[in-house]
Amino acid sequence: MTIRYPQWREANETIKYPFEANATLVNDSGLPLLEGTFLDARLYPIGGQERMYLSQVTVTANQATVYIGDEDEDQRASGTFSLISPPALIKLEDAYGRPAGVIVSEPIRLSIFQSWGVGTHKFTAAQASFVAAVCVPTPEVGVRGILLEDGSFFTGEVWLLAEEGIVLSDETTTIDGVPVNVIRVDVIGDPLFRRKLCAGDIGFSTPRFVETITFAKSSNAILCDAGSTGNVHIGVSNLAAQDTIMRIRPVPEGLVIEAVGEKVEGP
Amino acid sequence: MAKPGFYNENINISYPLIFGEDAPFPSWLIADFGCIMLPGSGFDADEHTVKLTRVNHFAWMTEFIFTTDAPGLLGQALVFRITHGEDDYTTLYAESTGLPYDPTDSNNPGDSSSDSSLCDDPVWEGWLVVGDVSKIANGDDITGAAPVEPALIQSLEGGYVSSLNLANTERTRATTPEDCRDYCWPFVPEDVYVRTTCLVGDIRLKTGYNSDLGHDPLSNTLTLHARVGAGEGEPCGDTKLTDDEAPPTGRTTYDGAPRCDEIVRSINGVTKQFFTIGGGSGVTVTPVPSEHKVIIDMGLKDLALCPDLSEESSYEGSSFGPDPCDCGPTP
Repeated sequence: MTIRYPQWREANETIKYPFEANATLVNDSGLPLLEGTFLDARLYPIGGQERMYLSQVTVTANQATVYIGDEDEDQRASGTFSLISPPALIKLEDAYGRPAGVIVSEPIRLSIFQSWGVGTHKFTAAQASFVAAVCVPTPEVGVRGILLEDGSFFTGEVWLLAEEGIVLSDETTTIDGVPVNVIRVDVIGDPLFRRKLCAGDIGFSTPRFVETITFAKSSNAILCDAGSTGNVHIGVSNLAAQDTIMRIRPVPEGLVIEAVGEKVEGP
Repeated sequence: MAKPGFYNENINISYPLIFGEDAPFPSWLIADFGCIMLPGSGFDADEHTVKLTRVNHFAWMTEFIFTTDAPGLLGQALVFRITHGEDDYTTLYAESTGLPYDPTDSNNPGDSSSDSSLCDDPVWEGWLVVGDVSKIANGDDITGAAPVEPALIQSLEGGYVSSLNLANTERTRATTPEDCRDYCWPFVPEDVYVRTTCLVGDIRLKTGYNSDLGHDPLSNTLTLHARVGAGEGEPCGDTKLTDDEAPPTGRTTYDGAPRCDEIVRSINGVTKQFFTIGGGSGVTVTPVPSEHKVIIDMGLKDLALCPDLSEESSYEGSSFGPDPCDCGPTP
């Protein structure tokens, strides 16, 4: 009996799809990749080139890794799955963990890799090219990711967060009549940051300085600030008496204010 | 007999839905489907699926509602509408709007929600090829949960930088001594100040104060250095974290700390971290720390001189005003 309209996956069981019809599906070592091992695929590695193919299958004791390559790079993306409990779908990612496609199968079909010997099994483009219909061009244009020195990789809506004396701001300029966003980076420092870093959040209090000195007597008060020199001078005036006995004497620790004169002779 | 076309075959099989899990949706409803999960969708092919969950039949049109369990699209839907009378195999396009799908509102399916994209860009787009429109026009409402073939879903989650967003963390701000009134900031201090969101398109980096930007085209690397005097040079004034940042009342710096020329650095040329005022002969120095006051009494004690000095009251005035933003003790 012939089924007039076989279901999608059933129709692909007995054909080479998602590989090209002229793919041999046998590698140089004579290892065959059976038709129906994979039922469907969608391959979209970023920067993927023409003629993507199954470049390599690495089998270990308990898992297998499938590599997808193209004419420029033989390990454009990969997907690892358990051989002990095979999944129904292999998720492919590139070296930065970005999604690169899926290979659709079934657990029983992927368990065939259990029979492959432990090691690396390579294929060429002529042996295992995918049909063009499952390969989605994904040009590597624009900023695809931001990579830091420590290997951190950022995609999507990326936040640039300035701290510890760095300030970010944005402005718009026009270049050749085209508005362009500009990110400005200012390094202005954070004067109190180092102190806070050393003291910790709990023990930190901002340094407090003497900012003004008020000289007061009775209801009179005179407020003196530091002025441009940062120095306050306390002097002795002789306005009230020509021969004032008041003396103000600087000492290494500060000032001594005293009066001169004969001291009381006492016990 | 000509070989049936792709769409023609598909309306006789479950595709683009997974066979065996498509009930109760008849195969002639849709001929093909595809969608793209964009950054913000949170879609992971290992964990998440896309399902046809509802077909709403109206007198003049029919809606196809697709939903997903991707965390960035929970409650949202991809809604395709076909007007009755259109051709079979018509291709429809739809995108998520960031609004939650309300199955009770036929005028607003998928048009109301919490957007997982800062930039209000759709994070889910798709296309649908309808099947037999004449049958669809005479159909009924159908509810189910039929998963779509996973190879028809392209995930670009984490695939590219969709936008740059700028923020500055809080600077270290001055605090007042214990028992003193807090500074009055003319804005609300935050831990993080969002400067701008959704910078897209061509973006340039510009060096500001004390910053140096290096570019290595071979390794495609941008390197930012802090160097005194580089870029725009050293700033003459303060740089704002946000447009509305301003000094607290009574201060001139944005962090609230005094400037170098606003503090007493020496008295009579003597600079000490802890300055001592000593009383010599004839002078009594009395500290009153709680009032930040030092009383210098030149009473000539211990001196043989004993002039008849009139008793004068000591200074008792206070300059602390009632304004809570003025310097002074807490009430």
